[in-house]
Amino acid sequence: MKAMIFDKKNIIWLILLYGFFLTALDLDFTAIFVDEAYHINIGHQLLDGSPCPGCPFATGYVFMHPVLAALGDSAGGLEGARMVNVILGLCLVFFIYITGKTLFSVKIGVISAAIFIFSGQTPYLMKLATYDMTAAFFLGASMMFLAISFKASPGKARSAALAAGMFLLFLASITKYLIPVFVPLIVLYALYRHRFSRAMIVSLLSAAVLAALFYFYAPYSPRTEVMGQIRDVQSGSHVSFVTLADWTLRWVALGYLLAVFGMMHEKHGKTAAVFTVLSLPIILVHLVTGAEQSVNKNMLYALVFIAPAAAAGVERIGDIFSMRSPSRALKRFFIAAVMLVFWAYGINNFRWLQKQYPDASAMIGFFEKNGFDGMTVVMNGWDSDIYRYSLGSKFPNARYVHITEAFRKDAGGAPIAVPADFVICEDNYYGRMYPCGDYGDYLDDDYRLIEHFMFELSWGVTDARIFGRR
Amino acid sequence: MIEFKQIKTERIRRLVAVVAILVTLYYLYWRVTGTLNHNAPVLAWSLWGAEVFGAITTFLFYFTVWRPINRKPPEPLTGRKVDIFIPTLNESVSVLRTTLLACNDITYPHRTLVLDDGGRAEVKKLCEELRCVYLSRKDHRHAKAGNLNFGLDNSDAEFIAVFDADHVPLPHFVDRLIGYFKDEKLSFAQAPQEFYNIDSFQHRTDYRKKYIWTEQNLFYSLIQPGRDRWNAAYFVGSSALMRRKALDDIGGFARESVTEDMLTSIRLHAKGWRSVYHNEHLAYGIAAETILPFHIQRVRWGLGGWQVFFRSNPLFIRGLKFSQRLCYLASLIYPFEGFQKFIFYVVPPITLFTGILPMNALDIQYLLHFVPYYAISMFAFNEMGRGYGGSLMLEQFSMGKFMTYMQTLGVFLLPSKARRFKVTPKGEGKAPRRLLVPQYTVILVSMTAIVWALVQLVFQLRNDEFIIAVNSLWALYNTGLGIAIIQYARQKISQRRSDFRIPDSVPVLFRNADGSGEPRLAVANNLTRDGLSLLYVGTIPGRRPLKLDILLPGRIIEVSGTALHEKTVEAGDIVICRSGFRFDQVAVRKQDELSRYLFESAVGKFLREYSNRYETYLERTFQDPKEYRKRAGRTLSYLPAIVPEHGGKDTFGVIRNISPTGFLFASQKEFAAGEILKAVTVLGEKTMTLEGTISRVLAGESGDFPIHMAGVRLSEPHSPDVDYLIGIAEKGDNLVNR
Repeated sequence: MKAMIFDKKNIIWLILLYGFFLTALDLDFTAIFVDEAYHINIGHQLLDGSPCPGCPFATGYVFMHPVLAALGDSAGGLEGARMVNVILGLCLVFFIYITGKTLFSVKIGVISAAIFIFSGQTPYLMKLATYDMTAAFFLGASMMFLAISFKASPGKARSAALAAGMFLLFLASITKYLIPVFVPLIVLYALYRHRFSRAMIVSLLSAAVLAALFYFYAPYSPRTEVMGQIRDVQSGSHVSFVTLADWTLRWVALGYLLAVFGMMHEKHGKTAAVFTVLSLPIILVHLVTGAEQSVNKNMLYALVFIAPAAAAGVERIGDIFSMRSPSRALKRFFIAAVMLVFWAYGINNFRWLQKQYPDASAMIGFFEKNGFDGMTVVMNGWDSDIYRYSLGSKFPNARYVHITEAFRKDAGGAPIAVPADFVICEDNYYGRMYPCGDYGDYLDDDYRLIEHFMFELSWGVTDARIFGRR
Repeated sequence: MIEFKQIKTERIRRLVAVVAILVTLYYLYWRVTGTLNHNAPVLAWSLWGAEVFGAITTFLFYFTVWRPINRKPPEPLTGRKVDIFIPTLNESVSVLRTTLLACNDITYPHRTLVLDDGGRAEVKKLCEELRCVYLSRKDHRHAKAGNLNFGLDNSDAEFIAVFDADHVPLPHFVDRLIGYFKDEKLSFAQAPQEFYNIDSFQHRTDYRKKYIWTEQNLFYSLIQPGRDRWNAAYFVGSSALMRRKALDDIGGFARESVTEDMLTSIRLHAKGWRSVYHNEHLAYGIAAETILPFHIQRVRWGLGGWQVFFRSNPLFIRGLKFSQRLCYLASLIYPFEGFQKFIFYVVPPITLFTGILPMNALDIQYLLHFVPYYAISMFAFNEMGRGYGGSLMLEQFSMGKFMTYMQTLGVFLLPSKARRFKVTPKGEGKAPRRLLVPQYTVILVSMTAIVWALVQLVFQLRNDEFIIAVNSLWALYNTGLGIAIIQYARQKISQRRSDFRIPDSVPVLFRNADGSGEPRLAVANNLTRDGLSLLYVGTIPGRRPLKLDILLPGRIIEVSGTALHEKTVEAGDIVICRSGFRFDQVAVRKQDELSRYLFESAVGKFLREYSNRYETYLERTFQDPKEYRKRAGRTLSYLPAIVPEHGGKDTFGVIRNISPTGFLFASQKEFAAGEILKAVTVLGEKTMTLEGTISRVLAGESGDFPIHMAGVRLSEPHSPDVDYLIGIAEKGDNLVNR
């Protein structure tokens, strides 16, 4: 029994089990997060055949994950929607194991999978019904098939693996429009490994044709909207290079440090170096553009490549720290110790990430108790979808209006105010761009503070106030 | 020994060293101007100071080994008077006997003077037996230096050769070195100290890959040749030939330090005398077997280092050249390393326990500076180390001696009467646990700190996750160093000075003790003065006395012996047997013959089979592949073989290794390249013939025990017979190295 559990090949199942327990048993850890609400709502619109032009702005104009999330939501509510990514995430862990096993060794495959699931981003994004994990799933699957094609003998199996790899790369690209930043290097690497073989060229051209068709005919095509959105993000979330470098690498610095050791691996150093390079585009995109939005989530894609390189590094560290002792036990001890350090590092990041956004549960509870069907709620954030999703079944006719729409002035400067039943002010978080203090003329006389919620987050404390009409 | 000039990558590696120096200087400047945590000044400055010390020692190392040289020996001077000094205090008579036998075999006319500070009657008797001069002084002041000066007082020779009591010289020792003294200003010619006990505490041996690293590898193979370029090679207390006139010029061997050798060298160089380093193994000694002699040796070296540093610092002695001052400085500051390493070992636990960093932040900026600096430094060190470095193994030894060196400062500060000079003990030296307390402490503190910090991290009591992770890795590395040293300190030593077993193989004919029965051919392995182990394809008859004819090159030693233990392994249809024999009452003369063979021929032969350097990255990348051609995979073998001769006098030998395409045959007969060789391998009752063309020949260096190797290319490669023999050889090798 003991031998079976500690067989290298079987450890992958323990890792998957760990991932499952860490994520699937705690899917109601917060109320719905605003991005999840966007995705699920848009997915339902697509499934209902009534896509809403302009609505997918907040989701990056994609449809692959919203549809999957909406299906999950239909099956099991928010937890069902989140479960989709848990399943995809566990599959991705397995893909990374296969990639590591194929290109390096079973041991490095197992360590790759462990590094990936131990990283804070992975369980965190598995528990969120957003497109991040879905895109990573396709990206990881693509790399797995490409790795298989690198090792397969020339023939149908290799061609099929290559074609699958390219097709999955296309799917990853249309799941999140940031993924194409990885494509040039991956394609170059595949071309190099396959020495410009006919199968490689055919697979590449097929994927290119699919991409062209998608570009022109798909719903929410990236032709115009996406480029505009990228510019908006870039201008709206710009921070200094040093700050951004710290924020970016905070999540993957240890992985990269281990990958440096991977590059020193006597046998697999070159492949580890290639994987490290493959991981870099996403980091460069952030550093070059200066955009900080979603930086912590986007590091997931770097991890897909860094995990095998870092795993090679862990094996190398095992050699170095055991001083190349012939004792296998000593080497295992050091590998286990490094993995323990990585796990603690990752679990800390995971907990930090889980508490980076305010949990709207208390406010939803407030409305469930004090709200009514047909109520009008004004808010200074863009989080109306949270309430629309959470309260939709109870108050189908409730209206959620942004403060800039509710309290404005007409062309002559006369104030126009939508009569609101409740006003939500979150001056430090969702609504920090439109603090309620700017709307004192409307609020002071007609509204009174009903409830004040405090949120202890990873990076500090924020609050939300709910006002009711006098 | 490598010819440094022939390495095409020399210029590139020197360029790498320059880049590394510039990067290091920038890094240290950046560290001191922008990163020190002024809220923790002691920690911050200590770490920076340790880094600066590391940089200084590295720069001095690069300077020393900038252009190492290996010399070719000139024609020997003839008709000069040479005395050999063997200072001794408490070494055993058996140790001395071996050394004196070898001294007597030195071919250049000489006298051997035993300078016995122990005043022992048995040593005097030994000297009489072996016709050596016995001298013993009444007072024992100034330890070894005083003893050597006593020898000078009793000698009128022009040249003095000095050997430690456990250093066994080769017969051509003086012939190789005395030619250098055509230069009238040459004060001494130093040869390396080579150690034959390759499983000692100081050795890291890979028996399969035939690779040896010793802690002093770098010094003897590279640093001394590097110093030689700057006329700064120094006398190491043994294996040197010295000019009497030069010693007289400085008042004899320096008495003011326990490392009299270094101080003597400094004084000779300061007086304008020159020195030469001849990088060829001309004597074999025994390395510190366990951590105890290692510790005692390093206490002495450390103490000597402090004495010279504070009392005769070469930076301030008149007469030395700037390059010599730098070379001596590099050799003198090593005791400071103890403090440097101590800082490296305590910083991670302090940070893990307290969260206090020696720098402002451990962030991306820090990593972007540190990682390139560290990478280029390591790369440059390995390249400038010319494959002798072994930085990881050097780190292990730093862990092993950091407290020893720190302790020596305390010893130095003690009044001199409170200090006792200790000779490095040879032979059995059990490792007392107290010597490993510093390493155990480093491990315990590091592991506790890691657990403490990780628990805090998991429960989110701290949010400096990257700092914890990096320092945990650092502390784990230190733990690994500590474990390695403890492992080596506690390992079982199989080689003892009293029972030195050389993994050489010679053919042996054995039969019943009464001379009855047909003689059978086997291979002796692990030969000593008192016994051998016999490898035979077949079964060796029980535990009864056997008569053994050991077929040494040039002579046959007849002994009788009894098997003490036996191991067997099956190889297909045959059995391979390995028996350990102890000789029954062998005449001292025969033992001496064996001893002479072992040290004058076998030691050098087996050590030559090992490599003590690896190819560096630049060599692998830029070297002409022909120069570094990989040899085909060979299996070590202990197969006895006979080359039948017309006229009945067959040649007995051993097939040392075998591959599907060829084999290496060792025997006392000299073959010529291109000759056809037919070797009949003896597998117990049956035989198998291998035939091929001799492609290369190698001669042994001992004239008295001529051994010749013939590399044979098989006429019929990849034949089933060869595969069969390879299978047997593999099994036999497993049996020997089990």
